[in-house]
This record gives sequence, C-alpha cells and structure tokens, in this order.
Amino acid sequence: MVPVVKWLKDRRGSTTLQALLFIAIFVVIIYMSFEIWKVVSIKQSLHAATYQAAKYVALNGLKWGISPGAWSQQVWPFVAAELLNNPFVSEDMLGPPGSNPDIRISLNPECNQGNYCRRCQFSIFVELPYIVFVPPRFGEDSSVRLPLMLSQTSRSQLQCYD
Amino acid sequence: MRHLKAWLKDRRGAYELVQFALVLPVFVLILYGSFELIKLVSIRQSLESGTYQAARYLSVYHMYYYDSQYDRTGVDDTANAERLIWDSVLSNSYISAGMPIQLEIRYYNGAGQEIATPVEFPCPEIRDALADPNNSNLIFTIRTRLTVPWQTSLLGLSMGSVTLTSGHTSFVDCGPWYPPPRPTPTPTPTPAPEGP
Repeated sequence: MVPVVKWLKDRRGSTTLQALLFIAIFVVIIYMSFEIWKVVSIKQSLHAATYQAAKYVALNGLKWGISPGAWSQQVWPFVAAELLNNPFVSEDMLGPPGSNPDIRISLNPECNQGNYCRRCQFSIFVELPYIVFVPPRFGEDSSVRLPLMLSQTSRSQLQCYD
Repeated sequence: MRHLKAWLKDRRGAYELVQFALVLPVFVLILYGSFELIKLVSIRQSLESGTYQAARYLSVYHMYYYDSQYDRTGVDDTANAERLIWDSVLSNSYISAGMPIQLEIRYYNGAGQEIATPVEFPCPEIRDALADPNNSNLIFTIRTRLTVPWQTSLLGLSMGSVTLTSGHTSFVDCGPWYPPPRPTPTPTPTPAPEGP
C-alpha cells in the first residue's frame, strides 16, 4: 500500500503530463476546425451551384419543356461542374449523374396551366452527402464517421418574351 | 551573493515557470500561424470574388451583342473579365502593386476541354436552339491559380510558396428569347357605346 501512496504523492513529471494533455486537445481542435472549414466551403459551392442552376433553368427552361425530370438532367452537369471547382469535392463524392447528389426540382401548379411567362415559379433543391471523420475517443481504435447531408434550395421563375 | 544563492535555491513558482515556458512557444506559434492563415484566406477570398465576377461578366456579355450597335469585341470582353480578377486581387490590402504576382487564368467548356475564351460561343438562333435543346456548349468554367508573391514562413522556417486556386462555372446567357408555347389570344372588339 505504501508504494501506491508514495506514487500518488510524487509530483514529478506532472507538468509534462499536463502539457501532453493540452497538446492532444489542441491537435483535435485544429483538426476539427479544418473539417468545419471544409464543410463551410462545400456548402458555399453548393449555394453557388444551385443559384447558377436556377438562373440557367430560368433562361433556358422553356426549350427543354415544362418537366422537372428534363430540367434535372440538364442541370446535373452544370451543378457537378460548379461543385468540382471546389478542391474538397471529388468525383467519387458526386457519383454517377442523377444518383448522388440528389437534385430535386419542383414546380408550382401555375406552370401546368400555360401561364409560363408570368407565374411559372420553380425551386431547385440539391442534396450532397458528406462524411466527417471525427478522431477516436480515448480507448477507441477507429475514428467515428459522422454523415452530414448538405442541402441548398434556390427559387426562381421562368423568363420569356411575352 | 547570499541573496542570489537563496533566490536560486528557492523552488517556489518553479512549476508555473516550466509550464509557462512550455506554453509560450506554442502560443506564439498559434498567433503567428493564425496571422499567416488570415492573410492567405483573405487573398483566396479576393481571388474567389474576382473569378465569380469574371464568370458573371462573360455570362452576360458575349457574341450576342457583337454588332455595330454595341461596338463590342470578344477580345475586349475577355480582357475586361480578366481585369476584374486582377482588380479584385490587387485591391486586397496584403498585396501591393509592386509584388511579382503570378496569376493564371484558364477557360474550359462544358465538356471540360480547355478553350481560348468563352466569349466565342455563338448564341444559337431560335430554331437551332429548339432543334438541339442540350446546348452544353453554352456552359463554361473559369479556373484561376494565384501563387502568393512571398515565401510563407513560420517563425523563420520557410514553408515554401503557396498557390491558391479558384473556379466558377457559368453559362452564356443567350436568353430569354424562346417564345412561350401558347396560342396568341384573338382580340375581341369592344362594342361601341350605343348613342342616345
């Protein structure tokens, strides 16, 4: 029992131990800041892509027909090109066209009544899954995969000559 | 002499002193690194803004307007768009005009192939556009690469030169000139008011 008490009372090396703990926490904070920065950057690209896609559809939508499916097909390469401008987005993340990310376009009911130039509003919704790797906690071997779903919506209206 | 010996033998505060000595360099490193990072992020932001403005400019001004009425040329427009990028970068407070800046501007079409400039995209006639609704040649991308005009260093240690990149995809804004597919309403004559 005496050696344990002696060991507990021994204060040598406590500063080093404290410094090690601080360094470990500091490294985790730096890593997580970088991960957060990546997510914010991808979210900004997603916003730019959706906004540009809405503009693209607003000006060119009529020649593709009033069809959310046809619009999605036309918009996909556009959104993908804008997202791939971000160095944190890879082609593996996007997957084959139409499967991932999920692009959903919805139209308001006015569009189907032939009133294209005045009231054909639409919204473009793009979803992009992203996985953040959280460092392992003490006692765990592997890092935790934290799946995030980044999404963005842009609304616009068909433009045409009257 | 006696006081000095006593002071040197005094162990009070030694723990805090060692801790402070360990923490101080890390703290200075963080402070200095943060400042370097802020500079790089700020320049990246300027590059991003310039690239976006150039893409928008080239989206709006293009061959559609190249006639005597507007007095425009594709060469002028490309130069104007690139000037927007340069202006945005040079307006950053961390960059001065005398610095040797390496800025690379490249253009790509919708298929990802490098092109000279997107302003040469023709805006198709209505019947051509309707015959080929895909018109992927209307999409273009601008990519910019800026090598920071100084060697980044951390507490005197050179970390090499940093290259910042940016890119934006846009499309040649030819429309809207597509007439809506609806019948032209027949005007109904207003009945003349009956006289007294």
